Amino acid sequence: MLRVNGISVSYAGTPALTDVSFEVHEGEIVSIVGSNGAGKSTILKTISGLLRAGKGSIEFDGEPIDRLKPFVIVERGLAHVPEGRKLFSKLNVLENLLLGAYTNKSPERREKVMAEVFETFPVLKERQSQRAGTLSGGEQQMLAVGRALMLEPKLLMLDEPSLGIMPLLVDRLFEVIDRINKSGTTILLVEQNVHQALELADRAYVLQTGRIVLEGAGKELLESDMVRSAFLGL
Amino acid sequence: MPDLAILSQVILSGIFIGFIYALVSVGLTVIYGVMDIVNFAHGEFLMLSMYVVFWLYALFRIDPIFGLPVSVLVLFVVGVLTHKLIVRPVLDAPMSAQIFVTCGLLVYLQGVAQFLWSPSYRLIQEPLLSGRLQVAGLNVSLAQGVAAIGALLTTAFVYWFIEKTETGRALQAVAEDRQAASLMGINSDRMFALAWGIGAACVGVAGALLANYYYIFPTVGTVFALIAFVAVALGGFGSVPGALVAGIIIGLVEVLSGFFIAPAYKEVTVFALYLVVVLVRPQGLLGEW
Ligand SMILES: Nc1ncnc2c1ncn2[C@@H]1O[C@H](COP(=O)(O)OP(=O)(O)O)[C@@H](O)[C@H]1O
Ligand SMILES: [Mg+2]
Repeated sequence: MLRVNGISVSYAGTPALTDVSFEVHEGEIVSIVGSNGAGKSTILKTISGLLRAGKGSIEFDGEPIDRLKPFVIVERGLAHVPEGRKLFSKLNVLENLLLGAYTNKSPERREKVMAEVFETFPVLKERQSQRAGTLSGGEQQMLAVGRALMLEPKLLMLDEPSLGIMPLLVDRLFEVIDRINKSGTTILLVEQNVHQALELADRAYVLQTGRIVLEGAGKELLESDMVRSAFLGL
Repeated sequence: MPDLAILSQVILSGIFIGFIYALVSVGLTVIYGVMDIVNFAHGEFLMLSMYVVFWLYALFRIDPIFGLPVSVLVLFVVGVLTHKLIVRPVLDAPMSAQIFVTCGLLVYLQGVAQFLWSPSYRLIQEPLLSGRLQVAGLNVSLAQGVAAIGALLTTAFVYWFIEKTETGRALQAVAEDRQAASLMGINSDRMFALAWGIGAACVGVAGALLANYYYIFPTVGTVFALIAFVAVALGGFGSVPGALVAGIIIGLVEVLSGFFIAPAYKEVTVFALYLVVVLVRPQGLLGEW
C-alpha cells in the first residue's frame, strides 16, 4: 500500500533522514520507533507532502506521490495526525471533525462516519460545541484521531499519539488504534513509547539518527538485544 | 444645552457613516485574519470601485445601484489577481517585502487613476437614490440611508459566510494553521485568493454605495483606509464583529467631536481614541490574544 524507497531529507543542508526505505501492507499496523530527534516526524511529514525528499521516491497504492501537494495526497486517502495534534483551537469539536471530512463531500457518508467517531470517542459527542483549545490533552488527542478518521482514510499515520497524555489513557488509545485497524484501516504509527508501539505492531522498524537500523515483527524486536538495551533499559 | 433634534440628526449620520467604515474595515480584517498581511492598497481598491461605478454612469447611464454588482465582481477579480500576481511571490519573503508590495500597489493605483482620469473631483449628478425622507422625525438622505443598510447587510453576510459555511470554516482553518489545514485537504493558496477576493469585494460594495453621494477622486480612498486601519486595531485584528463595532464607534466619535468641539478636530479625536485603546487593550475591543 505504501512504499518508501530510499528517501533522504535534510533541513537547510543538515541531513535528517538518510536512505530510508520501508513498506506498509494493506491491513497492517506498522510502527517506527526511535528516540527524540531520530527523524520520525520527518518521515511522516515527507510522506504527507509537507516536506520534500531530496532523494528517493514514495508510492501509495502503486502511484508515486512524492511530487504531490499535501492537499492532493489527503484526497487519495492518506490521513496524518501530526505531532502535537495541531487542532483548530478556536473552532469547536464539531467544526474540527467537519474539517476532517473536508474532502469527503457526501452528507450521508459524513453522518455515518461522524456516528462511528462518536461511538469510538463518546466524550467528543458530549463536547461537540466546546472549543478544541479548551479540551484536556487526552481529549485533544482523541479529537485529532477522530478528525483524521472523518476522511475515511485507507492509511492512517499517527505521530506520537501517546505524547503528553496520562498512562491510563495511553492504554485506551492503543486499544482504539487496534480496533480501528481491525475494522479495516491500515496504520503507520510513529512512537517513542517503544514498548507499547512494538506490542501493538505487526511489523516494526527502528530508526536511529535518520537511518533504519533494524526491522522485524513487533514481538521479535521487543525480544532483540538491541531494542532491550537501547530503549527499554534492560 | 444642544438642540436634541439636531443632536439625534448628528448621531444618525455618525451611525450611517460608521456602517460604511465597518464594511471597509471588514474587507481589511478578512485579508489580515487569513493571511497576516495588511493590505495598504485597500483605500485604492475603494477608489477603483467608485470609478467603476462612476464610468458606468458617465458612459452608459447605468445607475450606481446597477453598477454595484459589476463593481463587486471587478473588485473580487482585482483582489484575487493582487494575491496571485504580487502577494503570493513574496509570501515567504520577510515582512518588509510584504509591506512593500501592497504599499507599491497603493502608489501605483493612485498614479494610474491620476493619469487616466485626472485629479478632478467627480460627482454622480442624478442617481436614482436621491432626495430625503422624514423618518420618525429625522431627516434622512435616501442615498446615505440605503448605503448604511447595504453596508450592514454585507457585513452580516460576510460574517455568516465565514462562520456558517464549509468554505468559511476552511478559511478559518487556514487562518489558524496552514499546514494543519493542508492535512485536511484544504488548498491554502485557494483560500488566500478567496480572502483577497472577499476583502476587495467588500470595498466593491462600499465604493458603489458611497458613489451615490460622495465625491470621487484619485485619493478618495486614503481617508477611508486610514480609518479602517484604526477600526481593525480597535475592533481586534481579524474580527468581523470587532470591525463592525469599531466602525460605528469611529463614526459616532467623529460626528460628535465635530459637533461638540469643532469639525476640524474630528480626526484628532478618532486617533486619540485609537491611542487610548492601544495602550489600555492592545488586542482590540473584541480581539482574542
Ligand atoms: N524545522 C526543522 N528545522 C531544522 N531541523 C529540524 C526541523 N525539524 C526537525 N529538525 C531536525 O531533524 C531531526 C529529526 O527531527 P524529527 O523528525 O522531528 O525527529 P523525531 O520526530 O524523531 O523526534 C532532528 O535532528 C531535528 O533537530
Ligand atoms: Mg517527532
